[in-house]
Amino acid sequence: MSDIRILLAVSTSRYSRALVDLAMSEAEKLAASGTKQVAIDVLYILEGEDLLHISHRAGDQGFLGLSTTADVISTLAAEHHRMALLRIDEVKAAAATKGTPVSVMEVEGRFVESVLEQAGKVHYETILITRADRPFVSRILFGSEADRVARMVKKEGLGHVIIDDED
Amino acid sequence: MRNPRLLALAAGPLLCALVAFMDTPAGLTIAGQRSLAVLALCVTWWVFTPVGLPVTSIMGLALLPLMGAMDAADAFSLFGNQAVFFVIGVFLVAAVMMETGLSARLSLMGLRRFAKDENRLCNGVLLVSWALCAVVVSHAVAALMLPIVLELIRSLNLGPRSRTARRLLLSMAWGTVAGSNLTLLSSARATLSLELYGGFLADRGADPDPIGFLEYSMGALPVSIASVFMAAIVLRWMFPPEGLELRPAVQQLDQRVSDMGPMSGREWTTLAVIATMILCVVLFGSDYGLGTVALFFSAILFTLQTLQWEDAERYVNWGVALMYGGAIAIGSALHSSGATSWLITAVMPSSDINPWAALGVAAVATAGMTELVSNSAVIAVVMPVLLPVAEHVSLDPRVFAWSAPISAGLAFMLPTSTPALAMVFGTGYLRIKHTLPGVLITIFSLSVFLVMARWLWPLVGLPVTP
Repeated sequence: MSDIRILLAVSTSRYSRALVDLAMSEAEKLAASGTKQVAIDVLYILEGEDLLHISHRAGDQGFLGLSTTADVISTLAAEHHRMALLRIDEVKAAAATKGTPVSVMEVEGRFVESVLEQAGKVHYETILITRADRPFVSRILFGSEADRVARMVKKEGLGHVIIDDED
Repeated sequence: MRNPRLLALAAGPLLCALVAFMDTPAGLTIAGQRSLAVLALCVTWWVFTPVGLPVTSIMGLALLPLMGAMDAADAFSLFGNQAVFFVIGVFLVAAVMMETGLSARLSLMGLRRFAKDENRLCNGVLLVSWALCAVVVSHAVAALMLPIVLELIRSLNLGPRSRTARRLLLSMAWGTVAGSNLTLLSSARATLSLELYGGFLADRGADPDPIGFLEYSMGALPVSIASVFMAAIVLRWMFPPEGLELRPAVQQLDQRVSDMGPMSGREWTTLAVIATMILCVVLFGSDYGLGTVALFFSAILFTLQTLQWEDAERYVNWGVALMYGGAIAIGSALHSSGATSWLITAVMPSSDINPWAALGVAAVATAGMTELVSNSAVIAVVMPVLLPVAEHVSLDPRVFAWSAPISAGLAFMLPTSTPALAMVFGTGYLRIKHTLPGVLITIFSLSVFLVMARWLWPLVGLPVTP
């Protein structure tokens, strides 16, 4: 079991290659500053609620039947899973070059709640999250989930949060 | 604003009560005031969707007689009109095309022809999605094409940041959006618009002078072509080719076509029935009604067992009939009570307004609204208002029978606009910044429509102004 852990939270709509690099350099920095081993936990969140919205839109606004809507949702879910595997492979490859141990968790749920739940279970030195690429006006009007995670983590004293913009 | 849904849910009845119980303004009848009260509730709920669109229609339909805006018999008789049954026919055609695999076969064969290089493959997805909308309702085309496009992306092993993957997905979505303006089979909103236009004329005792299938398509086709043309240019500009080796995609398409085998008897029957139906809609739609022809051929599809009732239940959301029936009844109540004419005179006291400016503003406002609201809801909201506006500014109301559904079908930007865009956003490959240039397609398409209405329609005997 490693002594220092870093949480890298990514999802279908939140991923940045720069954040992966940042996680690696953060791990290197922490490892260099002490004798403890550093490991990265990758939390991949499949945002099922987004699929629910699409299902409503296809059914209630597009008037597609239940069967067609279900086909669309299962197609999207399969694609999300494929995307998750691609991204996890990318993180693993980056970690392998640095010799940093990586463990991966794939969960289904909302981004904010999933990150907070995981951060509540394990003590993380640093939590890295991506801010979704949205227009500035939308962020002002509807707020940012990444900022919400940072606020909640700070309030609960669950670690130090680093936010990076999606590339 | 912690729960926007509850807020919208409460705002609808509150606005309704406010309009219903205020002092009746001079010139407005009691029935007109009550109709406007029902409209206030329905607009709030259709726009913010705290409940499904059909639920709002049911509420509106029930409130019309309850509030004394319309007799129950009149309200419910409007529910069973031709337009509703034509829309049901439109969705049944989509159902049989999907169930028999005919639509998948046509799209795969079309794509195989285009799979020569990256540019052609992407343009092929755009064109096939667009063309298929001539027969199959555009949302169903999006649902059909999504797995095919994702299979292509997988076969090419493209990642989430691939330009080609994004272009392929957006080609599909923009192709179906542009294609939704092709014919009356492409979307249900055009049928709703024509029905509201016909009802508006009938309420004034004028000859309804129905706009036929071919006539509508001839008016909408140039705009649809302009949209797909502009979409191809914008997509090529935004996502230049990556120099991919297309062989895996070609093999994938070949495999899928080969797996389907030769065309089955059921597919041939479907093709024959639908082709005959379109011919009859064009030739006899005006005489017998679009709904009659659509129902007859739907019954034929069931009788020949190319479509089973279970398929119809699986592929069609029957809320569509409730949505359109309610919207038509509410539109009729607004016209027959004189509510919208009063509203227009109150808001625009002067009729000395340039009709072209009025048409332009209406088209831009409708196109803007449809980025945020379902296009069916947009038509249900704007048509009852636009038709008296046309009268007020000396514009032939016929022009709005085209301009409203066309403008409401130019939603190229936001995931809230159409199910097709919601689906491609749902893949995780696209962000808002990738679709914002869609505004260029909207501007170009609207310009083509306005130029056509201003200079070309008078040449074919359809003067828009007196």
